[in-house]
Parts: sequence; C-alpha cells; structure tokens
Amino acid sequence: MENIVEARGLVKIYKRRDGTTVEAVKGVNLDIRKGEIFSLLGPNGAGKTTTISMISGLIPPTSGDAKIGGYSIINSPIQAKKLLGVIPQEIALYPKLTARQNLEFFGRMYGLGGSVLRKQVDEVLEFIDLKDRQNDRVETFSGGMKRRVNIGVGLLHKPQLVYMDEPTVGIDPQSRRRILDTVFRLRDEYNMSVLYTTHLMEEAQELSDRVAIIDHGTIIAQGTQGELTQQVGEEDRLLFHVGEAVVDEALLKRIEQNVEGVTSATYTVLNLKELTASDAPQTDLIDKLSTGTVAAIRAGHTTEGLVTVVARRGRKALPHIINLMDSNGVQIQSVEVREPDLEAVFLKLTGRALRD
Amino acid sequence: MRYIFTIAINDIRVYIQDTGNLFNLFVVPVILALVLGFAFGGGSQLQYIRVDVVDLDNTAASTQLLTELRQVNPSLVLCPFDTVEDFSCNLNADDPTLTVSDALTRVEDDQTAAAIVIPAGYEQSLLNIEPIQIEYYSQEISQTDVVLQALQTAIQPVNGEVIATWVSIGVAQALNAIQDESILTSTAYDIARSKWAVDNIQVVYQTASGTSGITGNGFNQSVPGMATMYVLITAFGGMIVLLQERKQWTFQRLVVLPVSRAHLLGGKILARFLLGLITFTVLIIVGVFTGVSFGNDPLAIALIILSYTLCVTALSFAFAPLLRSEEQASSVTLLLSLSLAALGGAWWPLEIVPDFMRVISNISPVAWAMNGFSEVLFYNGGVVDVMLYVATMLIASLVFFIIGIMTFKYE
Ligand SMILES: Nc1ncnc2c1ncn2[C@@H]1O[C@H](COP(=O)(O)OP(=O)(O)OP(=O)(O)O)[C@@H](O)[C@H]1O
Ligand SMILES: [Mg+2]
Repeated sequence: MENIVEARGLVKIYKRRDGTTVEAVKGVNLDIRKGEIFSLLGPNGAGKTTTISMISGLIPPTSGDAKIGGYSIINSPIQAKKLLGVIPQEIALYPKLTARQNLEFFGRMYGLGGSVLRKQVDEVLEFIDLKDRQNDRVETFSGGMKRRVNIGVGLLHKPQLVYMDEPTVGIDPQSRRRILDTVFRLRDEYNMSVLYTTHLMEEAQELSDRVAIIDHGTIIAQGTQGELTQQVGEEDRLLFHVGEAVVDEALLKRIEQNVEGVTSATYTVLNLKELTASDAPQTDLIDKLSTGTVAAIRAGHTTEGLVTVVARRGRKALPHIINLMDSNGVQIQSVEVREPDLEAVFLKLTGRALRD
Repeated sequence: MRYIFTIAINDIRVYIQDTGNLFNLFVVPVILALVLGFAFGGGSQLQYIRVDVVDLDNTAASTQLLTELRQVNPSLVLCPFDTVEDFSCNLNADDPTLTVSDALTRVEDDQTAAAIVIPAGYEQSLLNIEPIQIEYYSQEISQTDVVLQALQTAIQPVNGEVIATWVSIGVAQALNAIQDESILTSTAYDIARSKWAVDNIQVVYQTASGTSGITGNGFNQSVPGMATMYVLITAFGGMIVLLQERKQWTFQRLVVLPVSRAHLLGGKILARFLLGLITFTVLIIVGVFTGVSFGNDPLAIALIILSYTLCVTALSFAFAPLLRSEEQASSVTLLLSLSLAALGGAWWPLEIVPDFMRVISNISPVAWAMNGFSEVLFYNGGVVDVMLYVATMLIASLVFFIIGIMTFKYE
C-alpha cells in the first residue's frame, strides 16, 4: 500500500526564554499508509503534538522533513497542506461567530466558494450532527459540541489525511464514543487516512490499524498491534479481584506449580482510598483502573485484594485457578483476562507504565 | 489576493460581533469628539468667521490688504464690506458703517471674532516707508487665532515689497557713491537684513474683555483629534487580537491552511487598516453634523487619512512581536495610544503647547496627521501643503512594516 505520510528524521529543539533548550522530538520516522487509522500513542509530554505540528507545517522542524502525498512540507508546503485536514488539540474556533460562519470562513480559506462551499458546509453540519444549532454562536456550545465543530472544520475540503490531536480529552463518555465512531466513519465511508494521537492505550487499541509508540521524543515501536504485542511474548495476565479476602503464599505457590502454563502468581492489596484521593477526573480514573477495582470503589470498599497470574494460555488455565481458590475458601468477586496489549509493550520497552 | 480579503472580512466580522468593540468604534470617540468640540467653543454656524474691519485709510493699498486677507482665509467675512449668503454681518441695516468703538463693542459682545483697524495714512506711510501699526482686537490673543494668523500672513508680502523697495533705493544710492561691486552687494544685503529684522507693518494686539476662547469651530480640532486617537487605539488593538488568536488557536489553524504566509499576514494587516478607515468615517460623519470646515481639498484630507492609518497599522505590527501576553498588550496599547495622542495634539491644539513640547511632538505620528489636518481645516491648505506630513507617514509606514514583517511570529 502507498504511504500518505512519510516523515524522516524529524527533530525539534525548542529554545526556552531563559536560553536553555528542550529536545522535544529526537529523530522521528513515521510511515502512514493510505486509508488507515494510525495512532501515535504516548504519555503526556512525549512529543505527539510537536511531531504532528511539524508534519502539518505549523512549526518548522529543526531538522528532517515530512512528505504528505509525496509533497514535502518544507519545500512545497501549500500542496502538502491541501491534502491535510487539521483537527487540533485545542478548540480552534472563533467563539463569537456561529458554527456556520466558522465553517464558511475556513472553507473559503481552503479555496471553496459559492454553491460548493454551501454544499460542503451543509454536509459537514450533517456529519457532525449540528445542523439545528448551526446559527448559534460557538461560545454558547457545550464542550462536546465545540469539539464536533472543531472536527468539522478539518473535514471541509475532503482531505486525504486527517490529523486529530487528542480529540477526546476532557469530554464526557458519550461525546467520546461519538468521536471514536467518527474516526471509523472517516476511514470507512470517506476513505480518509487518519493520524490520531492519544495517551490512552484503550483508544489506540480500539481504533488503530497501525500504531507508533512515542516516549521522550523517540518512536520506540511502530507496526500493527499484532506486531507490537508479539514483542512482549504471548502471555496473558489474569486479574482476580478477591475483595477483603487474604491470599497466602502457599496458595500462590500451588497455583504456580499445579496449573499448566502459569509462570507467576502474585498477591497485592490496593489501597482504594489512595487511588480515589487523586485529583484526576472520574473519566481518567476509570481508564486507569480495571473494572473490578472500579466496582470495589463504587461499593465503598477501602482496600481490595488482587491476585495477578501470568499464564501462557490464560483462558485455559482460568477454570483450574478458580477451582483452587474456591477450595481454599477465597471468594472471587470478578475476573479479568488481559491479553498482551500496548500497555504491556510500553511497560516492557520503557520499564514504566503508560499512565505515569 | 482573495485570501487576504477573506481573512480581513472575517476579522472585521469578528471585531463587530463584540459589543465592546462597537462601543469603542461608534460611541466613545463620538462622545469625546462632541465634548471636546464644545469645550473648544464649537458651534455649527461657525463655518464663516465674522471679522470687523475699520478702514480709516480707504485707499487702493488698504483695499489690497483686505483682498490678500480674503485670499489667505476664504472663510473670513470682513464686515461691513463682504456679503455672504446665509451669513450676515448683523449690522444696523440703516447705517451699515462701523466705527472703532462699534467694532470693539461687538468683539466684547461676541458678535464678531475680531476687529482690525487700518490706520489713516496707511498708503502714504507705505510709500514713505514709514512704520505702520495695524490694530487688532479679540477677546484673547492666541496662536490658534485663525484671524490673526490670516492677518499676519496677509501683511507678509506687503512687508516683502517694502524691503524690496528699500533695497533698490539703497542700491541706487550706492551706485552713485561707489564703483566697487562687492561693496554694492554687501550694502544691499545689509539693508535687506536690517529692514527684515524690523517689519515695517506691525500688528498691535489688543485684548477686549469677554469670555470666549479660541475662535473658530472647536470641532475642527476635536474631530480629527479623536479620529487619530481612536485609529491608533483600533490599530494597536490588533496586537491584542493576534495574541488572543494564538491563545484560542485560530491563528495556528490559519498557519496550517494551504495559504501562503504573505496572504495570511496581508489579511491581518488589511483588517486593521480597514477598521482604521471605518473609525475615520464615523468621525467624519460627526464632523459633517457639527459643521467642521473640511477646507477646500478633499484629496489632501484623503491622503492624510490613508497615510496615517497605514502608518499606525504598520507601527502596531512592528510592536506586536515584543508583546507576550494579552494583559501586557492591553496596558501597552493604552499607554502608547494615550501618550502618543496627547503628545501629538489629538486632545488640544499643538499651537497652545510650549515650544519644547512642540518639538517633542514630532515623534508622534498623531502630530504628523494633526499638523496635516490643521493645514487643510484651518488654513485651507491643499495637497502641496500636506505633502511633507504625508511623505513622513508613508516613509515611517515602510520602515515599520519592514520591521513588523521581518519579526512576525508564525509559530
Ligand atoms: N513552545 C514550546 N517551548 C518549549 N518547550 C515546549 C514547547 N512546546 C512543547 N514543549 C515541550 O516539548 C515536549 C513535548 O511536548 P508536546 O506538546 O509535543 O507533547 P504531547 O505528547 O503532545 O503531550 P500532551 O499529551 O500533554 O499533549 C514537552 O516536554 C513540552 O514541555
Ligand atoms: Mg499534545
């Protein structure tokens, strides 16, 4: 398949006002294929925004180049930018203008006019489902609605490539679901390529055909999800939520020795008070914790026991482990099977969790 | 080019969506211009200025002086000689003559702006090259007194003629006495210089009691004054808007559009320039309603307006890269526009400030525009008279734009 984006050796060194420098991106190479959803996954400050700002021509790279549809963003910026639809992390709209006025202005700036412009604006308003609010000022919109207009502006000229920079940050789960569905529609109905940045493993996992993981300005892995998870082996993680029950060493030993495929079994007690004390908004918290833990928090528990078993064929080992725990009087409240995921890849490559 | 207009129109649309901006555009400058205009003795009927003339000489020479006076300032109505439609000398219909005491009373009663008395024997003294005193009466003597200025301008050629006469007489005498040509030249020069130093005709000012201040239409000062100040405020407001657009990311969106940077910057500049012209238009309309005399040369006024608006727009773009936050930009805008406006004579005429202040005022573009306006509005000047100011503003625009464009931050 042909590449819509080819970035080579992108480096960005920011100069701070005090004279010091920050190397935010350190030689990034990216290949994004036509018609795919490509995620750039990395923790806060990893250099995601900086990377796509260089690809889109917002900031000049300190060195390196990126080509969009074969056009260099440095040497033929206008041609390259024509192929690109931009959906920035920020709500980049004129708050005093209506949704329609915003769309019309940016549409004109993309070279549209007359009946074509009108048709495109109508189509986009339909797509983002804001036809009935088109003549209201953007400043009167909810966060989710603003996000949708922000997305709409990037789609007006039917670009071949759309970039979306963390479009789900700070919005409610319902609006977020809607945006994720939009990403699929862009690929499937409009045949667009999507460059999607996120710090959420789940989003990258759900959306991407291919993923690049970025950390400290460096791409540490790039490929399909299958290719990446292979790097961490084929072991699953089984999480047993046991509530207030106490699990002793002997039982863990027995699981390790008697169940086929198990390589390790550990027991930890989570302090739920500490977890909920953080200032993180509820949506972030739900991302971070397994569903069992969330259930325990909701039930008002202060601590929760967790048995983590690493096993080659996890699903096969599951009934045996449940039996063992049951016969030892440990009541299981919920079980989760985690197949190798991007989180595990990140953990293996950096020694840190993606969340930190 | 299309993109430049699209950006400019959008910026203006964003600007007028903001009620605060509309207030600054249509309400505040209008109120200020009205208040200041009345404070400076505004009045809509004052398109003509009534001046009483008592010609005790009544000769060809004195008539000639009055003709010169009318040429220098056509808005002067010399009573009882002139008759103008819709404007009366307000004299007794049965006895339309004026005595010196009549004229003085009329000055005191505010019925006339000033009185000029040409002494008997004016022509004779002129021929004999004897000193002459023309008496001038008004309620208050000031540099801004347009009648006085006109009178002084009118007597200058007469003085020049007198000097020329002196020089030729001196040369003729010298010719008889000496043969050495160099002595001849220096004699001519000495005479010219000594006579130039003491004007033959002198105007003797007299203040009459009364209350009114500067003669003429106060709006001639306040309308262009508030217009220049508000154009400055509007242009400098552009610096705040640029910072806002960076914060709300619309600027970044513009940068990633498939549009050249020249178009982008051109659009931003055009927006401010057009807003400046709108500000001027609003105040010109105020001027029309308050009876501002816009002089005889609309082209000269247009040139001043265009070059001034361009100049302050350029100035704001030269300043913009220095500012980092909106708060900083707001205070700098306020400080710069108020001080440049006060310095440049937007609030009060530069003629009334001390000499050193008038020298300092030359650093303010407002002064360049106000000097230009006063040439046209007060002295009926034309394009030639304002050329120096227009050229100064255009050159400054060029310099400011070069600085602004080279330092403009797209990131
Ligand atoms: N204009 C700038 N000047 C100096 N440093 C900057 C600038 N912009 C970004 N950085 C630094 O560069 C690094 C990468 O920032 P970037 O915004 O690209 O990260 P990100 O992956 O998009 O993070 P986030 O998930 O928080 O959006 C960070 O350390 C950031 O502090
Ligand atoms: Mg970012």
